[in-house]
Amino acid sequence: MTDIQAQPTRDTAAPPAPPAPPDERLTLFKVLGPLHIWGLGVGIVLVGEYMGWNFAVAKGGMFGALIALFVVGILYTCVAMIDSEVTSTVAAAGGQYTQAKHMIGPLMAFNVGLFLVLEYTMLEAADANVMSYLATTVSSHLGYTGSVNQYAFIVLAIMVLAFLNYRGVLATLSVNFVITGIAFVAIIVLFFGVGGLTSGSSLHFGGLASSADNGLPYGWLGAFAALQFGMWYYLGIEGTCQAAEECRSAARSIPLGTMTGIITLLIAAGLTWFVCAGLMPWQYLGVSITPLFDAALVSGTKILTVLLALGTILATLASANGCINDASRAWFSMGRDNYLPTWFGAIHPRYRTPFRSILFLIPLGISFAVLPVLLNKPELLSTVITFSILSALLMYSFMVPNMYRFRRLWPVGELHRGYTHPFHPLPALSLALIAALVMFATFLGYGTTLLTLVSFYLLASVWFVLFRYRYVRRGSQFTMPWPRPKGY
Amino acid sequence: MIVNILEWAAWIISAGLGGWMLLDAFRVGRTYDEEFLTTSVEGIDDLLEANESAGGAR
Repeated sequence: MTDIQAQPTRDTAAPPAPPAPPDERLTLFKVLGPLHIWGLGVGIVLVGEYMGWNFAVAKGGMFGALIALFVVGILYTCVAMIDSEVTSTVAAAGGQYTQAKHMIGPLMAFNVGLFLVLEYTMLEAADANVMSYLATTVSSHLGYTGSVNQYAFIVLAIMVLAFLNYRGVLATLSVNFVITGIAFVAIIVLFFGVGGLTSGSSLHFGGLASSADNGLPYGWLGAFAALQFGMWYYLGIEGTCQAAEECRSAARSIPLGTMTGIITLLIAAGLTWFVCAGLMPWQYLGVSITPLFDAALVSGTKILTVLLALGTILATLASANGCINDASRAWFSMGRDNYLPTWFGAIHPRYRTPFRSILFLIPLGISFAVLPVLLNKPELLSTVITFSILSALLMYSFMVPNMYRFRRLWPVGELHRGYTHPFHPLPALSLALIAALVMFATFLGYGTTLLTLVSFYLLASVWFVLFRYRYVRRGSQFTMPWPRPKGY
Repeated sequence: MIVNILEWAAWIISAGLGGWMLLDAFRVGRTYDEEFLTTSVEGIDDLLEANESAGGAR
């Protein structure tokens, strides 16, 4: 069988080629390197530093948010280590879905695939909704007093990014790398701009430590509740795995991109907390929509204000862009393996993207993005975001048995890995413990949402077992040349 | 006034991009054999190829 990957048609002006002979195979372009993977992972997440993490301050005060930063940071470091090892051997789109397929079985894989699609589509919807909010804010700053049609900007944001994704992964993730880089540099510039390293700076921490009411206003229970919003610092870094099939070398690019990505996010989270804690009282910070932009406003420096406004918009765009990329890869992989109709497993013959999956998920993203506007309930945005967080947490729970099975079935030395994480099983155990803690903290705040989501996944599983499982070709879905698993 | 123009521009650009993608997807479906469009399999990586040449097979 000939793989026409070796002779891609890059000339977009060329007329469409005639139907190819049946012995040729379409593949996704293998064009990505570690920088693209970094741009994908950090791009999805960095918006959480610009907005969202500070709701942890409302729950647990400044120290509560700092504790969440450390505890959830450990959770995501474990996620990054585990994903780096497993995905360095699985050069396939679908990421954790593909891991589940290989390590556990079809029903688990189907659920993990749905977790991924919902996690990224809900995040994309929230990003688009926030972009429309930013458009309203910018217009009011420019002196416009009328109302802005938010639907127009929500739909525009999603359509432009979907178009970019449709036309090719290289341009999509190159754009993500550049705009994510600018947004990250903006945080560093803010840190130095407010005198983060100099004595006599505009940062003041005296009040924070003077009494428990300032640092931990609701005590340790508040710090526990803050864990849920601490997820915002890092949520989505595991999305790097979705690009494995499009890397020139997944074994090199995925571990490099993912590990440097989590290091970047730990730095960004630390700087963000430090600057905001030093500039704003916790009572204000806890309800701010755009905390980093507000910090720049408080600094009184015009160039910082413009830079952080730009950073906020770029971080939101990068996140939605990466989410469209990842959700479509997960949906595509499930279609390719017959977990969903095979129609979704098609690749565009010229752009080599999962074009039907990208198109299919557009209305879903738009629907959830406009819902808070349509029903005039802005608080629904937090429910949409919680859908994303809970789907991610369910997936992290799966990663624990997955890692155990991976090491047991293919011990180190029997399957070549691009990266082998140290101290196994400590990362898997830590992940299990912290994910359970965060899940419980989220349940306390959004119990109904959690039950709704679990019911949805249960119904979807019933549908899969009754109507779809018979189409899954259990043998032919494994095409990677792995050695036989130990004990089989 | 300018906001109104921007809103209309947003709708027009969105409709243009959406229409183009739908048309292109339809054209691809008509031009290419469905079996060909769905021929992809899980990726192959240099490490996996090395493993295969060392005798690995599932």
